[in-house]
Amino acid sequence: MQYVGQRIRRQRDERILRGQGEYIGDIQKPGMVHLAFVRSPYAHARIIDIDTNACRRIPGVIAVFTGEDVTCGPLPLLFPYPSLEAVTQTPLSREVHHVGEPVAVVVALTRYQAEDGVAAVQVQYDPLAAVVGMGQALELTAPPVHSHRTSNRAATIVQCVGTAQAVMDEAPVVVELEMAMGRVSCLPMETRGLLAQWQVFHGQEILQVYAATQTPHMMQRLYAQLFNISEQQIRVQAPDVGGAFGAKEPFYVEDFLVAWVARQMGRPVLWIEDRAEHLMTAVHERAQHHKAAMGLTRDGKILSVVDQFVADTGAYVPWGVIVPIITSTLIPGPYKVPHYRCDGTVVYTNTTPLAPYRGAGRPQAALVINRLLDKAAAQLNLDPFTIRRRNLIMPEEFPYDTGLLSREGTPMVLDSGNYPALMETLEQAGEYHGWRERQRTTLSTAHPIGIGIAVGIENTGMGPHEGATVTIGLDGNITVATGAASQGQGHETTLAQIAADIFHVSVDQVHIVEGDTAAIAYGTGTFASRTAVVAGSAVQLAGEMLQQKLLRLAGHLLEAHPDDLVVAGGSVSVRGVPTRSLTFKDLALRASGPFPGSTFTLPVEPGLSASAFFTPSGATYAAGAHMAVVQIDRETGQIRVIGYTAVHDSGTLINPQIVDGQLHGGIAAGLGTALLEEMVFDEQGQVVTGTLMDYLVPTAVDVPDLTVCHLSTPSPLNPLGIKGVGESGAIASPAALLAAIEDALRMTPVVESLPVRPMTVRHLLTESRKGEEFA
Amino acid sequence: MKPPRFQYWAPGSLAEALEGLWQLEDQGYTTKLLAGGQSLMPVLNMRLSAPDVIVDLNHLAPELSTVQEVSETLHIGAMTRHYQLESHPVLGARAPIIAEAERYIGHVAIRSRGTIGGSLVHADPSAELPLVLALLQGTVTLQSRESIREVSAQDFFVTYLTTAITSTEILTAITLPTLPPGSGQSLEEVASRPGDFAIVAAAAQVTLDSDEAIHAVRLALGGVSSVPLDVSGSIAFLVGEIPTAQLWIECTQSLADLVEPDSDVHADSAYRKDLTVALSRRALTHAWQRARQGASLGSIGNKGGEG
Repeated sequence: MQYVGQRIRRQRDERILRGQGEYIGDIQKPGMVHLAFVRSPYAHARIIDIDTNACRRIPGVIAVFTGEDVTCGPLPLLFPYPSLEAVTQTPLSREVHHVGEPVAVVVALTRYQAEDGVAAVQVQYDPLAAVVGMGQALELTAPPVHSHRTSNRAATIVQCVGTAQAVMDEAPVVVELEMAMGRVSCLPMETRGLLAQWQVFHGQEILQVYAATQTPHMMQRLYAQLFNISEQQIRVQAPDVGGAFGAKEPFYVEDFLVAWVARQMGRPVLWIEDRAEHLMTAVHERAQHHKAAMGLTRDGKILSVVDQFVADTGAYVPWGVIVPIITSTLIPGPYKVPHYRCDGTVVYTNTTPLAPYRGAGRPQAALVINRLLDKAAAQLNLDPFTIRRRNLIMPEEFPYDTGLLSREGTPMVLDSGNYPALMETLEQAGEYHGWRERQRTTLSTAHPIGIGIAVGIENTGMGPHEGATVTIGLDGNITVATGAASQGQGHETTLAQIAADIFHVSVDQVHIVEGDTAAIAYGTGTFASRTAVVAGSAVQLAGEMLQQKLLRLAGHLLEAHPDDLVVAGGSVSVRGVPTRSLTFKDLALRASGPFPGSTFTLPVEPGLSASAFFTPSGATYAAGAHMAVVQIDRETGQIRVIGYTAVHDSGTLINPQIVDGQLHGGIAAGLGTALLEEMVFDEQGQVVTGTLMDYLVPTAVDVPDLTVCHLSTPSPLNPLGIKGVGESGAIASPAALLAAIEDALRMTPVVESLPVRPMTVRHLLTESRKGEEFA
Repeated sequence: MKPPRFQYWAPGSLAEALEGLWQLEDQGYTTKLLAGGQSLMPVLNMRLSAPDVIVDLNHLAPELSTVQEVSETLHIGAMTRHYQLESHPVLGARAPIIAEAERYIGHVAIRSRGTIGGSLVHADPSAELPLVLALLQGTVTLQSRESIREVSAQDFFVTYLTTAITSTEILTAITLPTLPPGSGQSLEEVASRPGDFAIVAAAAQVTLDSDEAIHAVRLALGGVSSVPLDVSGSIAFLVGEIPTAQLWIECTQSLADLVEPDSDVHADSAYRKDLTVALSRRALTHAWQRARQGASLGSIGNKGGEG
């Protein structure tokens, strides 16, 4: 049986569901102490004095550290960009730039006592003017977000294909759009957390860190730089990690400080972020304000798109300005846009920093282009399917050169896809015409139905690399080590499916080791919908190498040509002569070498193991088409999602059940972005939505039944034809939901901000005086 | 998010608890009573409250969880938990609005621990059970070592999260009138998500006389003031009228001007006024329909049919 393509159950779930998972909070070390942070209550302030005397008298408190104790400059910039004037966070800085920034560290025997200590630290602040809104940041009279800078501009991003404005000026049809997208939190179920300890081994300092992270190898490299030691002295391990969605991707000052404090204390130090800290300090995303225009022919073909936007990056740039760069390159998306111009301005504000969250700038891009098309369709009296079909890139046009440059300055080429087929399947599976029929009788009632569609693409599977080491052990089973790290994506199942197919063994005989820098020397991490593509391909390459080695060894021992050998059931045998056979166990034992002191005479290197890296030449493009059906209560403004269909093309599917799950989660995230979630700050930069009573994340009851369909256009860019899927569901969903709401209200695009809440709907209806007719 | 240090005490009986509270007060200790813990525990964890002693009332649950009907009056023990309220046959028959309210309260885990007494003492002005108490003009029994007093809903709810209870008292019981003959009840609310506190909630009771004219009508609102608001007086003029769907539309229009809700991150004042009108009309209409059906039980499942 071939495993790739099978819906098999996730290997890890039973252990997790039985409460046998091992998360950071479950790890205990002898002598371990607890750390808690004193955090700034001001969005912008200078610290005048910190009095720790009362704190030191709290029972259980054993140490307090302030900025005077730490001599670490700003954290390294992770993603440079030519126009970026980067400000990164400085551990325990004397000037704080957002609410929640750490100003001191308390170490105690228990977390309770550490928090008692935090409450007793007296910090004297000199409050400075804070900049909160994106608009305010760019005003000439705006105070500086950082005292040492005069401008609040972080970067400018320009994309240009053809002569967009000139073509727009001549276009027979022009539509315009303004869209402000609210700021959201990544909000994994498990918050951040870190356990660090320093030990001495053979006279050398060793830093061991357990971290809830997406990027263990990146942490290892940064610790090496910050502590000026070799990465060989550092081991970072990610145990079970309960979700991340981007929050555990950057390197935070807390990551440095926990390890630094552990070194000062000479004992293991644990910090578990609580939910209040998470909402205040773990990265946010979305927050962009777009003004866009589209020029079209009278039959609805796009001639030109011009977009200007401002993106908020908060107080720092923890992951460069990748998010707005992605937005700027993906606005054309699956559509042919012959002339395109995008001018993005990234601004600093005195708020929580922003960095990629599931979707990473792509939902914003999908909103701009799809909402422009909806507006054009309304003006030209075209069906939303029709106008899209007239503009999609056609299957025979791949590889499709967008004319844009990728973030690295190379041509941005879409590798493969079949967008018309996506639309076709969506129209059928989503029962589009049935809904249109049903809609007709509701439009003049108090509960109108609306239907919205959107198409989005995602550049997935990016580099630089991921490696895999595949080993057949003395028990005959296969162990695969990769540099990826799982936060619940099911790698232990999907990567095992790939390896099991190479060696024709049961998937239960494959064990995946990841999230450990000691398991493999180099790695990149799990983010940007890349693990199935990059780590999956590395497993395939390393597996094939090991297969060759296995055959060479077995051929030698069985005195047969490797071409005459058959691998099956954990054995290698001579074709047609099943008695001439060696098990994987036998072969692994032979390859490990005879007794000590003897001579190694086999024609292969010792050990049944092989390593390979996969370095993708470029992104592979996944695509999704979504249809949302909503029903509105005109009186209360409530929005009920009564139908939802998504059709996705992620190339070769390793495990369709896991891909379904990824899409379900992604769509739930997109629904949150569109209808519920928003991090709100007041004018002073205080977090207004600081608890989960105020920050509204969708729960199981808020997510409708989802119909998910798959198409498969394999990517030519990797051995298995895989495309990424982790973020896909979140990309087209907000645009589809907004379109559905506007369709129900029969207003051509008027929803200009996200999220759209019942209150928003009510206010729109009141403004248009349509509400009263149906009361 | 760890509570500050506190002492924990779990008395075994009501008498012991009342004596202990008296002593603790006497010795200058601050106390908080722990019932279901669904509001108190987050408050402690966020360090919004730092009592010296937590007095755990859960060993009193057997004593304080009885539900009795005595001559058209319901006596509900304060430690009765939400899941018991939502499925209690006597309450279902005699005060069906309680089961209807429970469907909006939190989630299964919350309802398996939270208590009616805890919900009332927490006094969130958008919570459902305080609204029901206000609608039905119920009373609460506040008991201390030295006294026992019955306090009306109007006197009990003082302002946001504040009631008339003193630090030596325990809310031991809730008293509600049973559903009068010819009556229907209804509770309607809009929340951001199912299970959240209401943005606005409206609760109504309509009593018809034998010729289908309004004998009595009551209406209360949650989420529009610092306490659950009994606005029955503003529609008292309806007594004697033969209701129609149109009547409920007309009588609720003016409610928008009657309330002055605050704006917060979930909803602004204007939206709360909109909801006040819409939900009041719906609650009154449903209550009226149920009164006409004379069936207070089965009709709960029939929501959504607008009059």
